[in-house]
Amino acid sequence: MGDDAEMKKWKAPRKHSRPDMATDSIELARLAGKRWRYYLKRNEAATSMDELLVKTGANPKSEIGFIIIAKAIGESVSSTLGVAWCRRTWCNHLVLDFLTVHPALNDPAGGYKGMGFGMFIGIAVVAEKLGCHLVWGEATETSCTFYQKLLGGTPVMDHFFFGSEALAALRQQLPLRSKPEPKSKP
Amino acid sequence: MKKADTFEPLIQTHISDWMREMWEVEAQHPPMIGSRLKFALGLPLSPAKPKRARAKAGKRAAAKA
Repeated sequence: MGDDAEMKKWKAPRKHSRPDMATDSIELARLAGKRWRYYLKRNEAATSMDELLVKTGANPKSEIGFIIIAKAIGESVSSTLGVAWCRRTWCNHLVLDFLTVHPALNDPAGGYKGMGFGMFIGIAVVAEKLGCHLVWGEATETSCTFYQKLLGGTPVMDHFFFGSEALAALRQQLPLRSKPEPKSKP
Repeated sequence: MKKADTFEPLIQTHISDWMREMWEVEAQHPPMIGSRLKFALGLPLSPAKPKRARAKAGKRAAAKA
């Protein structure tokens, strides 16, 4: 979780096989940032997982917004590769209002694919920490196929619902970190 | 003979078939979502309220009395 400072710097790459998609990703990032600042100004946003737990614990029916940011490890086109703006609703569900990835990563002709998938796993992890049993959102004409596949083929039109089982299945996809090898004695 | 440089990933991962399939799906069907209708760029969040003219100090004092 974090703020929107880095995603303001997003720029479309010179070469992109789908310039419309590059424009979309930048526009959605700016809109998500605007929503983020609005909630932050009203003290209805959380800047960390701890803060999110404290705020929702203090007032279980409060609506709290937060932003999940995918950070790059090592050299990359940007330090911020993906952004998801979510709201925790009064009845402890999560609404995904915005999800966007860096324009260099959404070019069908090249680049790393899977950022959106990874972001959604992150959302499933946050849902577990909050005890949320449902994540829902509005799918677009271009994104509905992605969410349909993510739900294992359940038809998706303009909305999607990820229940407990679907969220647990996503969390199971988390990469397994290698255990450090024990140091050998000299 | 010089030993070839080996690349060690930062994090060892297990990539499932489903994950690979989703990467392929995402390459063709972007996951990006968001509404442009609300909170559009450049638009105010709510219409500005018209400012009311402030009465002169003398009039306010008279109204209190």
